Amino acid sequence: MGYLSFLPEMVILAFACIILILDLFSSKKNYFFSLALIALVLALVTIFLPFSSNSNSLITQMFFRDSMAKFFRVTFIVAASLIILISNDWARKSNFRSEYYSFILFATLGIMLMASAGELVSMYISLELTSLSFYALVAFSKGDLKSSEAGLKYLILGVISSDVLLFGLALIYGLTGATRFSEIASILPRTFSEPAFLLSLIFLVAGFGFKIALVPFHMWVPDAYEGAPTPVAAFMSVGSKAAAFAITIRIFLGALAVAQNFWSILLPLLAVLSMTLGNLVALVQTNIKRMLAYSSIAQAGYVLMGIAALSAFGISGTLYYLLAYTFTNICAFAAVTVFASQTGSEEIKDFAGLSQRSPTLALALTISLLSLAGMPLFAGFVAKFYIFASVALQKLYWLVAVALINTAISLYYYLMVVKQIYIVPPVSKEPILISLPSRVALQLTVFGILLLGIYPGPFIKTIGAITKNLFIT
Amino acid sequence: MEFYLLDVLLVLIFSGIGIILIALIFGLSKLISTAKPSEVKESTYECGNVPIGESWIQFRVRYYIFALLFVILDIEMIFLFPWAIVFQRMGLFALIEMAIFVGLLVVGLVYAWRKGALKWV
Amino acid sequence: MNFSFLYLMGVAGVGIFIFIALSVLILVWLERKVAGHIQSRMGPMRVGWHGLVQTLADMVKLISKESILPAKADKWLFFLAPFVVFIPAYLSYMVIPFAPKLIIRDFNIGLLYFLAIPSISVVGIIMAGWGSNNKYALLGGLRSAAQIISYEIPRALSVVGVVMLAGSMSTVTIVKSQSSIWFILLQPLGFLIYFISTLAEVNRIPFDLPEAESELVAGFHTEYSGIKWSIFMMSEYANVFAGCALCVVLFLGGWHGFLIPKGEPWSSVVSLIWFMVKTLILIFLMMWLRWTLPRFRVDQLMDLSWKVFLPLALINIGLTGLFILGALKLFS
Repeated sequence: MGYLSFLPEMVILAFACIILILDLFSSKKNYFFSLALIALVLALVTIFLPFSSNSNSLITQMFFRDSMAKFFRVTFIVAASLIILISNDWARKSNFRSEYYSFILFATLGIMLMASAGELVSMYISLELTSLSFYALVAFSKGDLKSSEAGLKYLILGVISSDVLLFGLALIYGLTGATRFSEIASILPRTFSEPAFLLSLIFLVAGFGFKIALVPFHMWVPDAYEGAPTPVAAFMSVGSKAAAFAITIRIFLGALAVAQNFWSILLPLLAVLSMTLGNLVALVQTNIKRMLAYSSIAQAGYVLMGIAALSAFGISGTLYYLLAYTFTNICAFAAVTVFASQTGSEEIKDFAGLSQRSPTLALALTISLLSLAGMPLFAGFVAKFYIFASVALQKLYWLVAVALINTAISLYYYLMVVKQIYIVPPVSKEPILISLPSRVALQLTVFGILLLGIYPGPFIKTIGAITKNLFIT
Repeated sequence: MEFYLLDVLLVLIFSGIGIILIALIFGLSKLISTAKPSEVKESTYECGNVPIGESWIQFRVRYYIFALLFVILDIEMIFLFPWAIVFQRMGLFALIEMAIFVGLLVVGLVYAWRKGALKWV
Repeated sequence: MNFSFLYLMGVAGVGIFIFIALSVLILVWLERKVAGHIQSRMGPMRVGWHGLVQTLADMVKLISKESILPAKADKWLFFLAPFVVFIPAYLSYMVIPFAPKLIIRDFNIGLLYFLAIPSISVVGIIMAGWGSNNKYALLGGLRSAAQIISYEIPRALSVVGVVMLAGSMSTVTIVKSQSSIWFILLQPLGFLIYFISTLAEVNRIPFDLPEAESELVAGFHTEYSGIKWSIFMMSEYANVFAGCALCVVLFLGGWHGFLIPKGEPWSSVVSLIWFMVKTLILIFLMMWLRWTLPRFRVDQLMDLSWKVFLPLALINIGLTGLFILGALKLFS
């Protein structure tokens, strides 16, 4: 039975429903946090159970069960667990706790399915599941005007982008009459028609560009991240972005690989645009969440370079970068969450003297920012090095040069925050307390950053094995 | 012509016939009926009083949530029909599959119910 | 497809229209007679035998009456609403199998068509309510929309059991599969839900809130008069007949019955009579209910649909599934 290989997804779905239903019939509301964590741990365990997926049932044809899917699913479950850990402080104050956790679980389910989708329809449906969960999550602080505004903006733009994407998919389907990626790849050369394909390419790039938050489809990102509850912003920046990258890899390198010379020019271009604009605008931000939002746009540009390299090495770099970025960004957002929930402020200037108010928090935030900047010793360095090397191997030296300049620019605004933390004297001496779940999350992510930065060997090996078979043709 | 296209065409033809026949009756009525409009006759009927205010105003449409639920369940219903047709051929498997599908929607319904979405306020 | 086919269809279209007009004439007379006798009076007696031609006279009156267009109304919506209400009712007659072979078109999705098409008329009702620019009309129109969409779900779900038993959505196939046993015996719950939901769909008492005369004057057609009003009345009765006819098709064996001769030329006629008698019994039931029961409140109406019928209909589907599985196991 191929169904058993979907056990992790089923576990998450079941728990998401159970949490919703339990909320209706119990007066106590404090165990949803643990339930959500249990769901994710169970899912993580079941991923590693040896269920055969070599079945020809319909559902196993709709989703890949390969090692890349497994890589993303594990990453997403870990990311979701971290998000739930840092959500506790925030969610405790909300009136809709069960809904929050079940939406997080639904979003996790969505991105897990997205990363393993094997054909257009299942891909689109899982994408919608993800988007719908995030629309609700972004607008989750009901009384907060900013949150509602962010939710509405994200909803409207998101729906339009989904439609655009759907048009692209429809054109691809119209060209080939197939929805499975492998079938599209084999039929497309025979039925190729340039105008239709170009049109669908434009739609696809715009649709995916929106989900990944590439310039020029990035307008929603700063507002959405700023208005959304901080853990949600963290999850969006990590989860839905990585899942969209997974789909992009599958579609462009799998289904549309034959039409490479049409789209291969676009990717470096978008990468350069994203990182340059993201970094430049991040320089002038005063709100740390907006800064992180622009930084995430820039990071998406780096990741896209790995795909633009069009080599197994480049894809390995992409996967490694996404893994490193998951830990790094969640760490940064976790620190911001803790800080904001204690002080109620998200302004960079209020981080002044954080090292005296909470050395742990200061250290974690610094490590994450340095890792985002790509400093040695941290995960970000290995990831950037990996990607830049893969691009250089393809003789795209100009792209590497642009990326290096961008890294230098980004260093400036990350270090400005670090300066606030360590050098500028504090406004208030009041210490900042870190609750147990947040502490665990910070420790785990810092550990992850250091592990990926200092001892990347096993991870690189695993990822290399995953991407080895991607470029047979 | 394909079979189902013929069906659609027939529905269109019948709509056309219906429209024409009604229009004919309207025309006949126009011919033989009297028409003496006056201001009082044309005023909005409000049980004999002079109408107060407009009726094209903003007011709360109470069954907005019902309409949302309707959309969801209507789609569920559409999925049930093809399933029902092939049910006898697919047996227990189909029943379990549909139980899961309907079960998920029932979770939503129970949620809406308990949260008071079905309450007339 | 050729010219003669189109001609035939044209004749059929006009024929159905005449059938609807005639049946409405008779149903209105019947309604008044039933109401009269339930209330211990005679009902119309003057025009014709027991007032049989009374409705015809009424019709002549309505056609020759002035059709008032309120000054404040939205002219186009006001004018088009009767069309949008009547056409769906008219179209739904296309799939009713009156007797073997006596059906305009046996769509393979006939049942779904029948469930879907009449719901379009809710758009017309809202058009009438909004277009009249009258508070009562607007409230009536909105109530009607809420009611129709609420009862659409249990109504559709209640017939899923029938589709499962028949394995088809074609109305003819459904009737044919009832040659040995009527589905009402296998689907009593489905029948109840379907019949009561139909009452709600056609805005009959106890569900006539959209035109509750004691609170909303006449509901969505408050401002209508003359021929336009009579089109609304006509579609209402057309819907009543169609709803009951489908109920007969789905649950009461359609044209089947005993004493039907085989292979004789008039066997179709006997089948047709069976069909009509069953339908008329159901219509009589509806009229009986109308003059017996009080009206629901809006919240009760909604509760009944969402909290009673919807779960029951889902349970009915599950039970039907188990029943079919059991029967298949038993007889294989």
